[in-house]
Amino acid sequence: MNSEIQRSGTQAAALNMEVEQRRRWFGYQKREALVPYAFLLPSFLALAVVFFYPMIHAIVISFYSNNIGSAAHFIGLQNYREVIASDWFPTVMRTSLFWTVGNVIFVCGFSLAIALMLDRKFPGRGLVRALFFLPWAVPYVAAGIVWGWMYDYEFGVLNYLINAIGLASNKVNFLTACPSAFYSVGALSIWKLVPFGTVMYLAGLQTIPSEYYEAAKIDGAGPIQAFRHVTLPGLRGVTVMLTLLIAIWSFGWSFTAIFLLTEGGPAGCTETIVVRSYLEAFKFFHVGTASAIGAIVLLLSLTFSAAYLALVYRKGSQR
Amino acid sequence: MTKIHETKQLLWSAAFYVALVILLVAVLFPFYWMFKTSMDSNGAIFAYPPKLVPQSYDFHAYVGLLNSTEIVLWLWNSLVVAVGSTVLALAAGISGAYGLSRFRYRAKSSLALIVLTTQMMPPLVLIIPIYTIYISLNLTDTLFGLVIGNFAFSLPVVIWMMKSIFDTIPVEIEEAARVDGASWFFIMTRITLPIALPGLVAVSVFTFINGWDEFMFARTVVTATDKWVGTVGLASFIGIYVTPWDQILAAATIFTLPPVILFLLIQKHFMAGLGAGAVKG
Repeated sequence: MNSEIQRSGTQAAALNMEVEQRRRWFGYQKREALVPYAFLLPSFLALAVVFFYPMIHAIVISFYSNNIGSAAHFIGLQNYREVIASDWFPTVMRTSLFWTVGNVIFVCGFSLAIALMLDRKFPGRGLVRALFFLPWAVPYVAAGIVWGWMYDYEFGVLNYLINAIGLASNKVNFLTACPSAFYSVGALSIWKLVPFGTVMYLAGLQTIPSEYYEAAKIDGAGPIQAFRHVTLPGLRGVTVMLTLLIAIWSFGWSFTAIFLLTEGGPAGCTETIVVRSYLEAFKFFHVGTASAIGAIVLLLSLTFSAAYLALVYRKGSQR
Repeated sequence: MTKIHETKQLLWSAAFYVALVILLVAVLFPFYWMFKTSMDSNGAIFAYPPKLVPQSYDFHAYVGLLNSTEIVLWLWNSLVVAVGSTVLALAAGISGAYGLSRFRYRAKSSLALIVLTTQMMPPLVLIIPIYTIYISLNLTDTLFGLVIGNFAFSLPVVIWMMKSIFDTIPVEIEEAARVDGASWFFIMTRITLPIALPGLVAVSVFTFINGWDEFMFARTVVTATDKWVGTVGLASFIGIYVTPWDQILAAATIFTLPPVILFLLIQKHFMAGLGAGAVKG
């Protein structure tokens, strides 16, 4: 017993000495401190070249006039002033706001409902899950084409179906009237995003220990109470992430669905801020204005995300 | 008492299955309608009320498509772009994710935050400067340019997803190898990465599908029809004078098949891979 301690003691001493030697000979500690940066170097180098450099470039362009090439000159904040003072800006912002809020509410609502259903055990669950996730894998352009065809005023199947079910007696101008076009494009966006939310919520549901449900049952909680007091608090983290991601994507990223179905029309009622910046850049060739819009989107996204996360986590710590 | 309870249970599960089927039909109907229309004759396409079941099983539209368009070339270009950008993003992203998941150093959390910030930049804003850079580098109208662009868009996502996957693997697994004097790089590639393989597969497919799906950037930097990717080729059908709906939906079907098949093959890993990120959130 005693000798064993002694032996391990000498081993430790030998190890210590070896470590000490390596430190002295190779500047071991210094080298070790650099290891994480060596791992980060390739990806941050790539991010710098393909992300941050263009990002800074875009912000610089936003301070220049809309002339093409070398004729562009520095005009300070004038692009920003013109954008904010323009007559389209309030409308575009309102459309973007409704678009973002609508996407967040419907995507999270449907995702949660479907995730709760798919969390139950039933025969063929694996296959049904996969089928529910399918819209995520469809290329946006293909989805846009099919939905556009289904929405077609003259020959579209949706007009026929809603008449047959009795939801409407007249044909609906799905894509050629306001505000129906806004809802029609929104439906495609929600259809595409719900699988993502469902996967996130399903993963979140797995992390709630079944003991919590058992405890709730023993305390006499019904299914609705168990949902309110066990499921919803357990999904809080996922909901925070999901609402933030969907908000950022719908505000600053959604473009393809709108572009393919309506190009911002009719009468501008599907023109979000992203569509507007596309039109400014590639239709009117106002590169400075388009970049200023982009910088505004970035600023709003950053401010909103920071405020949202601060609010959510402060509330969380008070609990 | 028990009888009432049983009837209640039965009603509940009946309602459950009805709701499930209604939702499933709503989710899958566009797929069905895409495939059904691709087999329709002109008469069936422009019939009102439309026929809900296929009137014929006829693949004339597919044959016509192969003969009259360059769809095979577009699909090939899409494949090159999606695979190329995925490989690059994984090569750069894995070690970055490992560096953000392991080790202790001061800048760690702020660096992770910087990666997340890139997701708040609308891609459209990046496209304008990248486009001007591409013109000066002669990268417009090249597949290489598209590979680099898609690589840029997917790299932050790869880093973030792989980081959440590495975070779920306990460090203790690596410690034995560490004591034996293995280098960090050896540990990452030989010990941690094999454990993270299911998640890695999910991330690869996620990145591949993003590259296959990308439209806005490709439309902007590529004009030559022989460099078109599938999304651009497909979108070119929209708004032409006489719309051959059977061919357009046949093209959409062909273009949808690769990602859908790929997804169905790995959907079990997909749950685990994406889930890892969600649980952390």
